[in-house]
Amino acid sequence: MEAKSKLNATLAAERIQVVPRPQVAHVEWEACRDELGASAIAVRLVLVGAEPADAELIGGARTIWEALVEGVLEQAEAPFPYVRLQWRSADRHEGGGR
Amino acid sequence: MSGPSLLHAQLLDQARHLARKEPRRPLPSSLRRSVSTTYFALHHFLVREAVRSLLGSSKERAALRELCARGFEPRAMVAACRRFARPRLPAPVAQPLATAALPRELRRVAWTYLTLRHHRLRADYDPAAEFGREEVELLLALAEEAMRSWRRARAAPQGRAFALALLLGERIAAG
Repeated sequence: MEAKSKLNATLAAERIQVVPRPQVAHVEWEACRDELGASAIAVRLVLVGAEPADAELIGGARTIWEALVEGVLEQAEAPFPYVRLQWRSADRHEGGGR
Repeated sequence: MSGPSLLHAQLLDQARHLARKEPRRPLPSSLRRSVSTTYFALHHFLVREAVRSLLGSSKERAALRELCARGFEPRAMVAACRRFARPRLPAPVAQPLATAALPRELRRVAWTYLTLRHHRLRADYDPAAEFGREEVELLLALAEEAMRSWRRARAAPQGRAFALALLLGERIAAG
């Protein structure tokens, strides 16, 4: 549970909020194992942004990814977060990835 | 440095082509192959760079570098990247370096390898896995940034230790 609260705190951090596009719309996570059997976190982030993918959108997503991974790994015992990004157009109300 | 004749550069070009070849409705198979190819681009880049870090880049050692490159195993590289993804190194690695701190650039390389490896396994083995073009483009961008990060960090003592860890895996941290 601590890992989850840290994850949410990381997502809420100002450094992510300053990214203009995309925005985090939804996050889910579950504990899992990596290929070597070590504890890991499978994270699903749903981002809202325009289509098609452009440099700004991908750059923003990279910033979010990096802040999330770094934030989680600052905890000494935190498992590695394997992030899956799904995208939603700004004009869509529901749905995750395609 | 990364001319078109180098394997990792060819693979990155191929991954980009696969990600964009169907502009309107990308085939899932194209996106899967793009993800897998992006991973292998970073894999071959890191193996090449680690070998050059350990053995130098002289022409006389070319055959030795080829031999050494065959000794890198993905699972050992995953184990090494787990160690180097954290802000601080474990004691057995930190002591000979006289520092436990890891440059962010190096950690970024480790994060990216772990992430790409994870998605490569999904792409190649999980029939239920789905990828969107934006996610695939992001993975490409991560690989490119990781290569730039390595070039900034490779001269540091921790960079050489990382090169060694990629070859040794968990054994690098054996006390």
